Amino acid sequence: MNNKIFNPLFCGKLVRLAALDPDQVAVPFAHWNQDSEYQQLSNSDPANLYTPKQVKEWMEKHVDEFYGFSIHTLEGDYIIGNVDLNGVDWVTRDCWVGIGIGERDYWGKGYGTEAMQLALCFAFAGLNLNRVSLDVFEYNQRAYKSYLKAGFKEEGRMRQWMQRGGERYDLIYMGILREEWEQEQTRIQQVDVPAVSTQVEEI
Amino acid sequence: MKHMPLFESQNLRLTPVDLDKDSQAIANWTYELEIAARLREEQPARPMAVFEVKKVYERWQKESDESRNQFLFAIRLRSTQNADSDPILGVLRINRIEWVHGAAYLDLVIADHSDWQSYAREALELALRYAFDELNLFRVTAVIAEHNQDANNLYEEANFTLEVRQRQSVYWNKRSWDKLYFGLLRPEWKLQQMTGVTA
Repeated sequence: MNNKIFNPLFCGKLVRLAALDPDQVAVPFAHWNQDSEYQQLSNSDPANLYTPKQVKEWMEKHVDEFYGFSIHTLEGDYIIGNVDLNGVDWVTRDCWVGIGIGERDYWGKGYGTEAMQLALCFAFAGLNLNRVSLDVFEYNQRAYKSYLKAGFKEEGRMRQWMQRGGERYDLIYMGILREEWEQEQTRIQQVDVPAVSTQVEEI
Repeated sequence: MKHMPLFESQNLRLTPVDLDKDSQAIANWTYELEIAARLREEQPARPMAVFEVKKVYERWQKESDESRNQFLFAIRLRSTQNADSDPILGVLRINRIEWVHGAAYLDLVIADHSDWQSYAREALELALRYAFDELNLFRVTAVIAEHNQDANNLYEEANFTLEVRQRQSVYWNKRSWDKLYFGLLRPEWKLQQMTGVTA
């Protein structure tokens, strides 16, 4: 299999982003859905189950409506999750981002954060956007912290927006502006020069 | 059960949007780009022709019939005996209803500025009564642009809470503005009803 990615935009130190391929991801996606906690962390719709065939058909129908990627580990090339940019507004140059790490072994180890950073890089450096938005459930603190680490700022909370197990939880809104992302890139380059140059050599 | 009329208030009446009758008025309003943006949700706003307005509403009405996740009304002035000939002032849309969570969005459009001054509050009361008493929602959200001072005032006066400020998410009149999310919860609305507190 040829996994060589020549554009550093899509390749980090732990993961790379690959164009979403329904044939490749239908089986893992359907498998992750079986994990109801994963579904409740990532989706406000009622948790539901679909066959790989249903997943594949849905994706083939909608793949042009968003910028979707599967997240692959550099080590072993495992598909561990997905990230997509959607709802691009070309006037305000804003979009939404959604991310999920379906493979539990890769939770809390920086894989999702890096995948998000790559998605942001594509949004700002590739698509010339001015901001990226997301929302996250109050009870998903792991994701919330990852987004802060990736450079997002909290922009408010829709109070008691959702109900789980009889309790109500806030929906937290976050956003990152282009200028904030640029400052972060400059900061990384200043403190982390060797790492960046190593990465470029590898590619 | 005490019955409160859902579709009539002192000066206003909610009716269906009648495309044969109302499309022309709505199309005229879309020259105000902020109103056009409500109809062209996925694309940049521009003025719309009558047939385009019809197409959007037909799609919404179909979605409404099939999935019950939105409700559409025309807001009319009760000026005649016959509801059919009351002039249309605006439209009300309660949409993106998440039945599992009891959450939805509320979009109130009253095209003319002086109509807004006179009737927006009354129209909002009708919208909230429908959302909370009829749809049994737990919360509603109104999303507006920072520059829309009229709407800002309305939702503040109606005791909504400014919950989210998405920075630079709106472009209007040569510059970027924030997008504001105002929320009202069922218990807050109930309390207002009981105490008659209105700002």
